[in-house]
Amino acid sequence: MDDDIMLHKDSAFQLGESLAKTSEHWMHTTARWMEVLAYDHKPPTGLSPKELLWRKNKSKLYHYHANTERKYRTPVLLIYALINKAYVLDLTPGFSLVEHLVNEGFDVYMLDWGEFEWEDRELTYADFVYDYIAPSVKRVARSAQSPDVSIIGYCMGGTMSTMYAALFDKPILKNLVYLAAPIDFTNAGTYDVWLKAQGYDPDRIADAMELIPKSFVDWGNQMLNPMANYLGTYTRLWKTIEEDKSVHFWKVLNKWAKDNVNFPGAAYRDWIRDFYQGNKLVKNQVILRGKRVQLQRIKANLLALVGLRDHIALPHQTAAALTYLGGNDKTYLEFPVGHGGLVLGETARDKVFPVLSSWLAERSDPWIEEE
Amino acid sequence: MEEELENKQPQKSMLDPYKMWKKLYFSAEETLSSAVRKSVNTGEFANGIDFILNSYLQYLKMQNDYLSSYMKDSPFASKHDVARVAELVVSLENKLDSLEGDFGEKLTDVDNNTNLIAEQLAKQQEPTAKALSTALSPTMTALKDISHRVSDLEILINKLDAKLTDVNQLPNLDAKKKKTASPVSKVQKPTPKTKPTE
Repeated sequence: MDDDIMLHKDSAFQLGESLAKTSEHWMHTTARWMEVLAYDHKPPTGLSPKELLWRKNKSKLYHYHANTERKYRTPVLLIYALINKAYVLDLTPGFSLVEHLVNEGFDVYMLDWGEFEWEDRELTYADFVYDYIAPSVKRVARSAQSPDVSIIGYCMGGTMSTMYAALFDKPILKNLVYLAAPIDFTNAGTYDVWLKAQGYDPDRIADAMELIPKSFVDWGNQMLNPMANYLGTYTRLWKTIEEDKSVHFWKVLNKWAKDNVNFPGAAYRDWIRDFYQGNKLVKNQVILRGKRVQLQRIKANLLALVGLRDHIALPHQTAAALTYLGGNDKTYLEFPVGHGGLVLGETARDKVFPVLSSWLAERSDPWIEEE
Repeated sequence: MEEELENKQPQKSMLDPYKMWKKLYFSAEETLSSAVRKSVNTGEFANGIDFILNSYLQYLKMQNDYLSSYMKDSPFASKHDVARVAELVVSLENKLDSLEGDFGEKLTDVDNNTNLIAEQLAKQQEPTAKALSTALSPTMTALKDISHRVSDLEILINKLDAKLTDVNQLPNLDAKKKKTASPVSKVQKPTPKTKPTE
């Protein structure tokens, strides 16, 4: 019999006592579990001090304040997916990519997409690249007094950064970092099965819904691993309480996992039809405002970071960038985590962030204060 | 002896139902999770979901069409109407933003150009000043020479002037000499006498 599930005591009385104690502990755990789910407030997130540099529509370009001395002239711009909220990259003190980069002496900026509403339903990737990313990069370079910039793209943010990098020469893109960013959409795992099924028509969805509701986006992501995402979330909380661990991080993750935003219908149509179904990016067939996105034009230094257990952007989807992009300095690294694990959690904090910042540091110009 | 025997008695053991349940559940969850993931990763599941989705979309489209035709004649603003106003605001904001962007770019251009002009002027000034200095050098020497000569001339003129003054003073000396030579006559010159009052 497995010793983990056995009770060993000197007397039957002690056994009964121990059993009663465990029973009480379980009652208390379950009560606390219900309390957390029913009453506990959502933890604050995105706490790194920042100032607004520019805003457009619902989007905001933030500049993060540094308490430490600035070491690098080349600024870092963070771009994340349209369906997430900005705090995914600035989750909570001690577990924040933004905080880590600022502490390492980088001049850090983030393009916060905001929450799309009905009037934004016609926005396309061309709009996001030309009207949001390009002006942001310009402003970042101007604010940082630097001729070049580094971009870190998380998930879909990496795909969008790629389109920008292929279309715009100035300011010079010095470094491009992918965090689980899909570039090649052949064999996209479960998404491949769902989105390439005969009955799945993105035009029909975009026409009927116009603005894709966050619940629909959320459902699609959760259904990739239904047991872990629906039931597992709550059993993990119970286990955390039962083992007397802090529930703060669970609350932060749970808030992030359920906090999606609406997806503009036109962009959704492009995303499914051109990327997942057509795989046009690696075929150089994506055309934005009459200009062709040619991946070979991207000469920036490339760092591709992937999670081996990622079922949203599979490792080979990001690794393909090493083949298709035009630069000479390309690095590919794998970590034993899932999609969120690259930016959330202990592996991210202890392994991913340090690797990322030291790679960037080697390829960024030093900051020399002008007299 | 009895006490020793009691101490040597084996420990009492029993199955902990709580621990067993926990272990059983979390192992089962892992297995079940993997099985469910496999089942959602199939064409059958995708087709089933698509059937439900398409039925819903059909219903949604019908509902939207009906609502928009109803809202056309309604005195209330529809979601589309509100969105249209928001779109106008956004486009106005875009115009302001592009103006701000253009202005910023122009300012940067002006700033860059001014710096460039200043740099070029600074670069150009050095050789020009040197060339001008070289070109003007003989003139300056000539000017200095002229200045010296003028000074010498002035001295000569002053000297001449002094001599001329001396020369001019010469007749006065003759007159003085004459005056000093006939003092009696001057004394002897009869002074007109006034007639006595008679």
